[in-house]
Amino acid sequence: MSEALDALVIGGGPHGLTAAAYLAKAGMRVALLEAAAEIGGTCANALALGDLTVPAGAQTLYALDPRVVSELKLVRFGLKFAARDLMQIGLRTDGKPLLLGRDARAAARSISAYSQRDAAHLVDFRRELFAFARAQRALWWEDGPPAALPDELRRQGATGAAAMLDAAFESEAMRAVFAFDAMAGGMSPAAAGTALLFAWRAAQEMCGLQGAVAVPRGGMAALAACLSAAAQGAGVEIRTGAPVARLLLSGDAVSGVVLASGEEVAARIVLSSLSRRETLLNLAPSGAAGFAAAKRLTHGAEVGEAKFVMTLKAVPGFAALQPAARFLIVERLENCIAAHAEARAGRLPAELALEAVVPTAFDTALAPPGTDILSVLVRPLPVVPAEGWSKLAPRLSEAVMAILERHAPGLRANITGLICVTPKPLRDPLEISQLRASWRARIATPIAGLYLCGEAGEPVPALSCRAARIAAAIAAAHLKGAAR
Amino acid sequence: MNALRATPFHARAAEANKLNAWETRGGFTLAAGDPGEAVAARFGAVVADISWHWRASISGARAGEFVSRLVTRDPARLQPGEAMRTLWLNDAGGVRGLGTLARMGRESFLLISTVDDLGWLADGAALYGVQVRDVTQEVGVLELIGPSGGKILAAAGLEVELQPFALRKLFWRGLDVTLSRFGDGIELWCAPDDALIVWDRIAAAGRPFALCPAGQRALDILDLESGIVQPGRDFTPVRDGFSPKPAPQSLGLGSLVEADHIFNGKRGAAGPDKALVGLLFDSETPAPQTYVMRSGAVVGRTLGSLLSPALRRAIALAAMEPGAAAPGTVLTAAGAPCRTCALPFLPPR
Repeated sequence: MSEALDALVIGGGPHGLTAAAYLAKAGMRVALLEAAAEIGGTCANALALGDLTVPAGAQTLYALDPRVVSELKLVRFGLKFAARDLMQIGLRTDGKPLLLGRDARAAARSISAYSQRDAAHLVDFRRELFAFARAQRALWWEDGPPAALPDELRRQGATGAAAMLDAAFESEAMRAVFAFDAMAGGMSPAAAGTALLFAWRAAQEMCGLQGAVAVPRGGMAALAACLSAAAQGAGVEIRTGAPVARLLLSGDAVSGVVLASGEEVAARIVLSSLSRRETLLNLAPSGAAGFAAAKRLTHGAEVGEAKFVMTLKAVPGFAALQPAARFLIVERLENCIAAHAEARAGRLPAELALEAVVPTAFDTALAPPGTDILSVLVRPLPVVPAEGWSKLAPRLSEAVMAILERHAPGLRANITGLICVTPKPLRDPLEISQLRASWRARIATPIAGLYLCGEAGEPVPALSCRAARIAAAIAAAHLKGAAR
Repeated sequence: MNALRATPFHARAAEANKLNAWETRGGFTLAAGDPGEAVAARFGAVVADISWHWRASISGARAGEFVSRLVTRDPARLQPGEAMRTLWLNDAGGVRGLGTLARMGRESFLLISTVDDLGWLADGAALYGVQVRDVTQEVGVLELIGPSGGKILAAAGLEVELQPFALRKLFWRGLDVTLSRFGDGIELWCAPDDALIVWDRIAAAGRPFALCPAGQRALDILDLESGIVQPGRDFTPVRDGFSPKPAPQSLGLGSLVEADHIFNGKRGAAGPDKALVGLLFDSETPAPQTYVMRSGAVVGRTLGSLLSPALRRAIALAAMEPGAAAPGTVLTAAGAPCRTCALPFLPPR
């Protein structure tokens, strides 16, 4: 075994790559361990769909930290965006689609078919939400002191998304178009504090636009490739095909890892981009996480989301409204609350919320000519259904097809290939209280020298890399403090 | 209401309970007795029923590993038949329990306390694949306290030299019993079915020594006079997994935390160390769980406080700032004048 590394990063997804790159830039000797043969985690093009390969994870970027893009010089490593500000479009069965673009007047025109009042209110709604969100950037962007507007933060931290939307909009259509986002992280729109999910989302910035949704050119795998190049450029040693079996501790501090092959890799600190549960229950020695924490960690998230990716012979009809758009298909906000309860009980909900994107409509390089890709996220779904996913997946697939067919007649006949990614089991449950907690509280663990740099460190699970950036700073400060 | 939950000695305790005063401890109905019985333990001997103390057996291949993580002192040095007083903490370093950990075998331990905490043990043990079982009702325990305690046992045919915090299994005229010295006196453990025989044998052997049964009130007084802190009575243990109070140091129990041992809640278990001292009041009014003041400033906090019939004044255990812990320091608690003294209040018997 060679001399101990300064830092080890577990997991080669965007979070792990980001953390490793920052640590290496700070002058540390860093190695990154990835279990799979390819780097990228859920962003890697790991799933075969006909002649194409697609990633299992996120389909859009709405929370990527702009400072990660600039500080790691991702543009120099080839990061380009195929779409910078996807329009939010609500597809309705009871009327015309809602086109909620950044242009408030155009948005108001499309809302006025449903409600004049809502059309007039959208501007105020966005202004207030964006202003409040900006005020919380100290909390959500930095490892800094508590945010401004503490009373409003506390109030929203106790308000359900459904109550907030009910207060803001009178029409069913407007409430429904926000319902998909209200179920982020497997939450029910009725759960206390889910109103904060909107503010958190609005506090994000993509391509210099607040609250924008973007898609990188070449898909998510391209982002992972840029981060990988940045990490290697900074001097990170990347090892693929190296799954970690367990953490090594000396006393109550981490001292390295043991790989599945039995090889021991020593390091002064370890950053894990895996879930809190995976890191502290499965990799750490029994009891090291604390008895009460371990008990809490045994309860994984009960409600999650599935992803469908299909190849089509022709673009679905709704894509003609606006190619660069996210199409939200939700009938009623209230139904989502009931659907969430059904999903929690392990059943397939009667009603589902869909977010559809047609990436080939704005990034033609993704597929050969004549082939289009439709990517759909479906919420809320049971993580562990009573009948098992092998039986539920075909039924879910049928239900999703029926919904899509309603909005794009003839779609089914155009499908040439389909893949379904069922909800990831053993995911950390989202806790709304984390939206008001400090970064350090999420990133640090009960084990000295072990930090969480993945989604577990984020206030809301998302492809943000912000936790990785802050974790790297905290870990580097730890190493400097220990050296002194 | 629940039916009476009785200890194995209940039939004899009911006959002896001339005051017909009862109280509930750990869910069991027990004779309350009279504080005056504590004086009897100073001169002769008393016998009391402590079967209600919570006992959890911990066993399994990784029991040693689990127990080591559970408690604040390193149990690795315990040989089978040895025990120690120890704390166990929640994740944030708050005191969840205080009791006696005894090693029964290579892979089995017994944890004894006056407040039960089975859920916490079970949660922790699950991480190690270790079995935890509440064995409170599987044993009857009598405690003999007083200078003649050893002589009574010898008269009954149990002549054993026993170190403090040691236990020994014996075969006693047809009965399997265990003798231990974990508290003020000598504990005699037996199977519940043998309990009445054991009581009768001890009562017969104790008659020439004026052995009298004592209730729980007298036991509390004797504990306090010996400077023994008990959870539930002297402080309220935390029941949440993540709340840092009370810290061991704030209770004056820092001596039960070993700095180089790794245990659950270690990172939170810090803070200014307070000293555990005794407070002697001028009056007879106890002042439990209250602030201790010196010239208008808070310098400590009392834990349990009772009237000591032997000293004819109120006494209290108190966690004091080191600067106010020197014996003889004049203080006030709950408005009553008092002064500090070293523990124990009365010499051990």
